[in-house]
Amino acid sequence: MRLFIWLAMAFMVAMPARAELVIEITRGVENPIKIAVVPFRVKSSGAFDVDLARLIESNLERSGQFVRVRRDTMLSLPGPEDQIFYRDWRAIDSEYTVVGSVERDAEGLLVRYGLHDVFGERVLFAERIPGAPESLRDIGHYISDRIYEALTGIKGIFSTRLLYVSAERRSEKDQTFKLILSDADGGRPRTIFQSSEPILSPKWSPDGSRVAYMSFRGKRPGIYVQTLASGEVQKVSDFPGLNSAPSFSPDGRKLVLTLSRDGNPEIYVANLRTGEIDRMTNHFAIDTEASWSPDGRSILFTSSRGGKPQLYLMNVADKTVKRVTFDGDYNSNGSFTPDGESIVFVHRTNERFHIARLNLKTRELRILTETDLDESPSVAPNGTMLIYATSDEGKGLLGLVSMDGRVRVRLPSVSESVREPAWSPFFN
Amino acid sequence: MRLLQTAGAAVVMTAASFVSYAQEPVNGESLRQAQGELLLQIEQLRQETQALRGLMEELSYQLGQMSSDQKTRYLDLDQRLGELVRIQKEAVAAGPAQGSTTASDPSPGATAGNVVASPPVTPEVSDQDAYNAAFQLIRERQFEEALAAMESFIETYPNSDLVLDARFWRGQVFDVLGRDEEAIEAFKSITLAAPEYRRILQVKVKLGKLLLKNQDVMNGRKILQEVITQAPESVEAGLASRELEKIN
Amino acid sequence: MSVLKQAKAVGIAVVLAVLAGCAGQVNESAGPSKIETDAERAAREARQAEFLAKQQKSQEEAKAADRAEIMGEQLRNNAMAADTLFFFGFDKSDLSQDALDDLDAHAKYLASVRAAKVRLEGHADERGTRAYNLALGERRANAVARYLVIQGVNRSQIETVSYGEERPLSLSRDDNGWSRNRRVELIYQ
Repeated sequence: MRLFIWLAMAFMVAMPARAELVIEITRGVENPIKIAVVPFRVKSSGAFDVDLARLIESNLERSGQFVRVRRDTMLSLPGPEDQIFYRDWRAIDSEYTVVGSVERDAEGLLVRYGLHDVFGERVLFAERIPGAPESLRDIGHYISDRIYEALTGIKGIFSTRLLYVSAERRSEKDQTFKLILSDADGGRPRTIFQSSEPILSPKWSPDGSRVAYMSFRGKRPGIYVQTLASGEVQKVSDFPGLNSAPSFSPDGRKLVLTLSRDGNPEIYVANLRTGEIDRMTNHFAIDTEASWSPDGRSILFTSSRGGKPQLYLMNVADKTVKRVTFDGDYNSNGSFTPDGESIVFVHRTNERFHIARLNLKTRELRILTETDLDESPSVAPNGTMLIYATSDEGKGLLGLVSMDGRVRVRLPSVSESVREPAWSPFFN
Repeated sequence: MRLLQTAGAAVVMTAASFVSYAQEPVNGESLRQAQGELLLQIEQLRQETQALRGLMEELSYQLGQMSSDQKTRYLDLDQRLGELVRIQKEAVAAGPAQGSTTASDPSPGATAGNVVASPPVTPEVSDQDAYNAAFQLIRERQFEEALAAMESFIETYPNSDLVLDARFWRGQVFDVLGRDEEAIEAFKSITLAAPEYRRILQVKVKLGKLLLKNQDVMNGRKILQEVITQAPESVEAGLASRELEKIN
Repeated sequence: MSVLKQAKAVGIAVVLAVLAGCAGQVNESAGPSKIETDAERAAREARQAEFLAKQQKSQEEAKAADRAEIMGEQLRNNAMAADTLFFFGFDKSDLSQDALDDLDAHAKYLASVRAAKVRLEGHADERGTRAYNLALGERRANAVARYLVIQGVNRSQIETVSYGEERPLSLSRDDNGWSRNRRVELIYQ
């Protein structure tokens, strides 16, 4: 098969979309770290449209591992050059305090900030970050990552991105689907593809530069890979029948996907450079929703070959298959955690669909969510959380849950129905 | 049910249509009908195969789980047996009056109210014989049977001098079988009912260990401490302090 | 358009009568898999009306009635009267006995008029994962397609597509709504 290249179409050019995600924390850890983020002092004339302190404290709080010290309880609002009176911060139970300033200069922006350990009475670190005029949010996410990593020892995910699909339905045949790219906190949403036909299964390339998804061009579904920077779109397949559920190989060179060109939904691997397509499964039941293990040696997929949808693991080298899920009569849409030790998937218990995690070594199964019709789990690149789609009164929304199920954060959409989230890899 | 009937009918129909081909020119209509029915049958067979495959996958997984569980259990049992043998040896060493079988236990402790002068001449099964038989089962490692025998002994001869020994071994067997809660109950009841029992130190050490293992650190520690204060020079006191060191 | 050439000399009254009969039939035989909502009926009737309009136009173009084609017309009328929505069980893609009767009518018509084409749209309810449901819708559409082919329809007359759970007919989130969404829609092109 040849690969076709489309040039950027008009609607693929990034367009601003309404801010759709609002953070709402439903549960947290028992002993979160108390952190005070003092409002950043503005040292030049003119206001900024981003409140850095708010952005940072919301980011940290969303991890479930931090809780903010409220601004109105702060006894003073020092800047980065001021002396910090630790006693004042101990008095309001702040364990760590962040102070900072922002100013405009000739090059654009300059942000200064410092992180203070209140009980140790010392500065943990301080930085000066220059940036382009429009980069205030990026700087805020960067600072959040630095603080998170310093205090938890885990790399932060605040500078990563999300992809998701929003749908607006006017009637059965009159709908608008949008593929949306946003910051990890839901900020700066922009539509990167729009269609009156369904858009499904968006997935990131391992380097975060491209996304693969299923969409219809004409009346026929196909798998497309879109380069984010240029908007260029590459068609991977649009065979008669099903073209669905793409997922990049860890080296980014191949795509595993589902086709029914031979009469039945089967798993295939497409080489993105040569266009070669290899058939991986051959069974009269449904085989779909394939994804790679982090080492690239196995493919996890859903199959109904045993009568009910269950997850199977295929050895890519010899195509041997073994079943991995045995609890429950519906386990599907599986993917690996970054460490390769566990898989997350949709699991049905008591007629309800939840996100579950199964440790492949210990066989421990943990159900992470408690809403219904939960689907599309996508694990954050640092492995601490996953994002998933759920619904409330018929409206699709996104939720975050920590990998132990203890922290749950809901990202309700303001208006449209959102679904099919995909968490990006790290960009640095 | 309805599906099965359909399938049955389809088989007949198919056969019938083959027969009719032999006699008449091919009838397109009936051929199509037969094909339609074959299609349904194949679909049904597929579903059946899928269900069977699913069942087979689950059964072979369960089998794998069971054999690995069994291996773990065997190792656990082996360790417990080793311990049982060790305790037996210690018991033998501690009580020189006892022969190689505890059968000849002379029960030197406080004699129970009723006078039992039971030489092995009694016409019915004597308590000593019954006890011996039950104990023999322990030596043969038939623990389930030994448990039943000890329990029936306790019921049949409630006043025998051997009843405390029977209760002691009952507790030991529970422990060997991994039935910790019942073992704890058995040993605890001995400490309450017969604080003067000659094996009371052994009972307490065992009870203490079991309590610690089952997360009742407070009571476990207390009872082991008791052993040390009660008989500081005893082998049991040594065992008790070793157990206590493990948790400190 | 050659389909339409075949459509000649049919009194609209006849078609209407058939339609009326069909509507009655649907109500009578309202089994669990054949419940039709107002919306669905409206959709079907709209499709039929559209078809009628095309047919009427062709009649104007048509010349004299051709007796040899009356038989073909009969097949067409049967097909038009037959159900175009076929329902399935949860995670199932096998056809019900009810569906077979209707499909036979479609098959006879399609087999007699090679230029006629249908599009089969497979759908699933919202339960379960989206990509799996897409595959399930595909299997449902294929089950219908395979049956039609065996009944003598050319594979090239059939186009199948799956929308998975993306285009529900019913938005009610209960067994009733879900059972309506697990369907294949047969649409004459």
